[in-house]
Amino acid sequence: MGTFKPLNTKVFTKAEPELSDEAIYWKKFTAPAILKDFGPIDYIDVNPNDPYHFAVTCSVRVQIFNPVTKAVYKSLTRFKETAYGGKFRHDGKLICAGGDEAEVKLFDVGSKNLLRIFKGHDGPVHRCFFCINNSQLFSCSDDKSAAVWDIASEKIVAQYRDHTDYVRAGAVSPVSADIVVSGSYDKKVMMFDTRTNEVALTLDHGAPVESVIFNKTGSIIISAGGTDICFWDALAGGKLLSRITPHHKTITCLAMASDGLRLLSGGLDKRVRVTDMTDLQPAHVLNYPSPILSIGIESNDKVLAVGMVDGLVSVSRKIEEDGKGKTPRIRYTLREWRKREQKLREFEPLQEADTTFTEKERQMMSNIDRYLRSYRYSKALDVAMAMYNTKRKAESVVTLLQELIRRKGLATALAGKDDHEIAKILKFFSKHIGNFEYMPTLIDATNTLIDIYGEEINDMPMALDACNNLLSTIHDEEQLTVKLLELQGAMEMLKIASDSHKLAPNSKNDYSVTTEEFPSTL
Amino acid sequence: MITTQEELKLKRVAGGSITEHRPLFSSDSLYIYIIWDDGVRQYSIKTGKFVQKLETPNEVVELLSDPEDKNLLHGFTSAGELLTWKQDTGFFENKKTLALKLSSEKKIVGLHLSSNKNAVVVVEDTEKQIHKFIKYNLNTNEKENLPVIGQVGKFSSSVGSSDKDEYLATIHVYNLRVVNLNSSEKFKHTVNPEWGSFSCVRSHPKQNLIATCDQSGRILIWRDVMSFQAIKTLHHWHKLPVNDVVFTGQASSFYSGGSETVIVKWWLDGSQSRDFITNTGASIKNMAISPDNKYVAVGMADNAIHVVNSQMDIEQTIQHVSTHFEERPGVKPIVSRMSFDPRTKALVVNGRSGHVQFYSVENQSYMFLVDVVGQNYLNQQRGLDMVNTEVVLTAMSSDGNWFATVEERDDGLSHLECRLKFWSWDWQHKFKLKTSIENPHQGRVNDIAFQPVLGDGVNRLISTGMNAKFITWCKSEDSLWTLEFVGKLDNLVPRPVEFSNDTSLYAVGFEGTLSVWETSAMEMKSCLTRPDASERINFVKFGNNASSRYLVAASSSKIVIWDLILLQVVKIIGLKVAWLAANPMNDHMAAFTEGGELVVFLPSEKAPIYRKSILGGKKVSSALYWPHDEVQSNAVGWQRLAQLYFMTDNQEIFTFVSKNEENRDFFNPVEFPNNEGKTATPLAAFVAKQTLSQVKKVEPLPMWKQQVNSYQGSYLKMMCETPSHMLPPMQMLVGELINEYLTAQSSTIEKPQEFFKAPEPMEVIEGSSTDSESEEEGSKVRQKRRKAKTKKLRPVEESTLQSVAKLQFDWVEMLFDAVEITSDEE
Repeated sequence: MGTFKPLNTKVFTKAEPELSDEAIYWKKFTAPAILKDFGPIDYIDVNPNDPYHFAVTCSVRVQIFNPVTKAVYKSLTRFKETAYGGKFRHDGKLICAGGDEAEVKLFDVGSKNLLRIFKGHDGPVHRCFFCINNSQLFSCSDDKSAAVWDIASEKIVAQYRDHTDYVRAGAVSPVSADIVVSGSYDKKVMMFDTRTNEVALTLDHGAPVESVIFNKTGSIIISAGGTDICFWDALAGGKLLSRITPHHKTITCLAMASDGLRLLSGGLDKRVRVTDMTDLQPAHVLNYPSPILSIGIESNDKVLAVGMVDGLVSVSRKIEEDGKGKTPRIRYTLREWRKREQKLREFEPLQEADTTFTEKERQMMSNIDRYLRSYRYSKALDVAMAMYNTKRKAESVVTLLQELIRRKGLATALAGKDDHEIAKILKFFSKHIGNFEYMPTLIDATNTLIDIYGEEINDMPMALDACNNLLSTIHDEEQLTVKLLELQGAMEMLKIASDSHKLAPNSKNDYSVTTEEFPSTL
Repeated sequence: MITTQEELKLKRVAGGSITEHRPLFSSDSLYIYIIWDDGVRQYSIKTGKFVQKLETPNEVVELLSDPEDKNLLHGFTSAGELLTWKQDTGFFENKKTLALKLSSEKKIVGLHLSSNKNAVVVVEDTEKQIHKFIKYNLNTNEKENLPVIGQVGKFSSSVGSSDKDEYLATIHVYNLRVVNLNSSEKFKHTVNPEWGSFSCVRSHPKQNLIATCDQSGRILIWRDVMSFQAIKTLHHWHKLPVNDVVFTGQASSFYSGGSETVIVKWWLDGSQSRDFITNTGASIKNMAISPDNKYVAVGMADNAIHVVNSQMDIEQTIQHVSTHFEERPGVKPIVSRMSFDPRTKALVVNGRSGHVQFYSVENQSYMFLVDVVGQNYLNQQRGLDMVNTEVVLTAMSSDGNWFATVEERDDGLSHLECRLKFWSWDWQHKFKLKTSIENPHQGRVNDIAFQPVLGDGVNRLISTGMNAKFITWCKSEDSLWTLEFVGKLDNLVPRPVEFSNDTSLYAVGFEGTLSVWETSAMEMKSCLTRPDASERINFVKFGNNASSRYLVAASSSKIVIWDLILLQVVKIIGLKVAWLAANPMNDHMAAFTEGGELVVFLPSEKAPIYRKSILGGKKVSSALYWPHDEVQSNAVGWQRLAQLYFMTDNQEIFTFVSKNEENRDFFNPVEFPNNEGKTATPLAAFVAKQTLSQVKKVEPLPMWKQQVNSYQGSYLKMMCETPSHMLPPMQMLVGELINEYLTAQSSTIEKPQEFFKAPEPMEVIEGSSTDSESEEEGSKVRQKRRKAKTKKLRPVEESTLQSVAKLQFDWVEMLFDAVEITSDEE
């Protein structure tokens, strides 16, 4: 009330999707740094302890990077053949990795020493994990078996040969040292209990399983394979809780983020999808340049590293929000700065008074609005045209024209212009009259202009020229419209032909309606 | 299933102007009194809240404060009663009926009080179209006709006082007349007619000052009016006629307002300086000033009273149902359809120009306005027809999260502006604009409907438009609405659209054809046309609960109920439906007729549940069922689950209450006599209106149709009336036709001859060809033969004929073509 509503130029601008809270959260990461390696990035694991080094397993080595400097911190190269699945121990001091040598190797991160070699598998070992008691290892191998090892003695504690194809995925329970899960190319996910040495659960995923993880509390097993992600209840006998299909190509890796509230999944469709674990709804998408093979993320999202097929690793860190970081500098315009200074100077504590009055804020408005408000339409149009000449913002001119039509002020605004100005306006019309959003307004405006200058235009050489231009533009537009209509007609004919084919049984139905109901109305 | 016809009463829930009369401030300037509905209401200025209601026996036309006792408040009624209340307690003090003895063409329209117990009653002479004034002494009851006249108008007279005398100032066209109330001395001042006639007059209560306004927007301040040489000063800012002015107590300034939607404060210190409140959004109807000069109450055309302080800030607003007003002469204001917002429990309907208001029925209070168009209100200008963008359609999604509006501006000169907007609920902003679609239908939008939101969370809206298409809009992932599907049926213009409760189907009424579409596949399931599809379908509703299989379509003369499973017409009810509402809680439907009847019925039942002429001449512009939070056990059976509300074309909201729930609210119900005088039982009335003959009488039929109509055999009639696209293949028609004809022929011998023009087949059966004969001869022969044949035919012959007809189809088909051609020619 009491305020002048400024022109709304948004009418003609494209709608942009609104930023959700989730999108804002994921935008708070630093710009990704790209590291290049030789082969496909098989596995990435982030050290859960500060400074969150991350281990990238690729070709014949496991490299440990510093997430801040992005420099190689340690490089474990004692592999003769390709290494797979380099995984930190929970304290980050040891690292284990499998490989084509059919062995699991245990390294000390600090000294890069090879501490243990676990031999016993007959095929390449793709995934290996530390159990939560830190004294055992779990490995998954292409010999169709999964094994649990005692670290101290380098001996197999248990070996499970229940799978019928390569075992390429696995996970250890975050709550129990005795529960391990493996996922295989035989489309099955199996849960083993080392206390009974038996398969506790067999879950049918329906596609070769590429990745298996537990949720934070160990109650849900999440398996990925094909384009599906399945959520299984680990406690209630492996009930399938939900199945989602966030990707349209094979999902290769899974990771829990945001302290267990989000699930990240990477796929060959070059996307990392963020899924809300509370309602399993898609929350966000991160795009990458290549198909994704591996994701490493710190459990509180401090570091995110994504490995791709062509050896690229994209690393980004979350920006700290608390006061420790930089405070954003407020940039004042000169006007705002003066106002602020004045306020500071004038500030006095309020005395008790019968009535207090506050100074009225003056409404800020553009020049166009100011002239519109005071009914100076011609001036408003001049300003808009001048702005168009410098900024090429057609929408502000068109909205002004529309508002002038609304206010019945267009004739006033267009009257009394000289040859040059009219030519400019006509030029604007002929340039934009083809835009279907602007067209109704511009047609109305052209009509008004012709009403005013119809007779004088012969004495205005530039305007006459522009007018002829406009005429030919309109002619071209008409031609185009006719052509498009012809095309539409042809397309519609095809569509109707296919529709009538489909509708045939229905039309018979209609007939029975009318004949049956008719006698009843009499 | 006829429940007892309980006595229902019409009850006004909201609406009605509060700015018809000037408001009055209390003597302590803390409260304001306004006249609304059937009483005087007191509002607090600090909080803007309703304080109390002062009951009145008749309509109050003027509120006055007592010139002597500051604690007294007077109300003057149209029956000539002067009511007195105490301001501090609100207690009724006394009532004095003025002995005026007026003739029937005169009615009381106002009262002025002067200090010495003299009252001036303003009487409108409806025959001569002038105001007359009667001086009435309240102590002695003496009365005297004053020798002045005033023009008809709200503020065409005013009482003021000079140093010793009191005077009455009146305006009449170009004349300002002043009469001394003590000596009856008269003065007349005339202005130059080129400025137009006077529009209002107001005198200062204490000083010898009069302000007059004229049609050209000038304000003249007259001093020393009790002489023939009055001094006048001119104040000209307004471009349009000024509606009211008011002086401040010490006459240092005055306020004025008119259709410019600007409140102007003028200073009388000779500086001609002015202060403004601009863009108030509605024109100003009247003004009143508080005794301490702190506030001015400004009555607005949109049914709001703004309390403006002396710094020209609007300090408080008292708002009743915000009405859409139209300043253009001869243009009716738009009343959009009501919808129900489940989140705020509000009725949603358009308010002042370009706005949609949310009105809480439970609290009987206005909640908030949403500025839909986002444009400045354009006031009328001299010689220009200013057209504002108006909200014409609103729809609210069933969960209250989404709200859609259609706004339109059509000035007849430039292109039609039409916008479809989607708003989402937002805690901070109430409703936030998410998507705006320019010109969705390259013309007017006829109807919009949201798909009810079920568990799957799909948000969809269908709009129908004059471009003979309907469009389904769907919410995308990022909360933007985009086009999903465009549907059409031939080139018929779709109008009503409605989703079924389970969202699996939706129905679109294309002129007289009803089409049912499947939501999931966006495919037309069936196309329902009645043979007399000429009437446009205005309302479509799906049945709920037990009546889910029924689809109810209402046109201007009847309701047709379809069975969606059998695809058959179940029932036709002859009603001139003005509005059709469906109860969301059960399967009741309510139809309001043009004749002021309310009919509540079940699609599945033969008889209506409730039928009564109850609307008392009110024009229904929309109606809806409002779900109760809990079952209202004392309500009428069909209102137990949901209350039926309707809105009239002047934005008053009414509902129906029974005797035992009258006291549910503090508002008194308004009774309207059943002026239709129909005492027939509901069923009898129902049957009477259902006859087909009444429907047919409406328009004279073309010749061939008349013939077909009079021909009792229904099959031929059906063939002629059924749209051609719905006719079965020819082979299937002919056998039936012959059968039909033969039976009709044998049973209706006494039928008049001229109706048997079509039956060429008969002649052919007799073996002769009419092709070569001239027309006259042919007809003679035909008549002869017909006579002969009708006599000759016996049952045996007939049966043989039938069997022959059944056998030989191919030649009959040819003949049928001939019949078609002749009927086309006619």
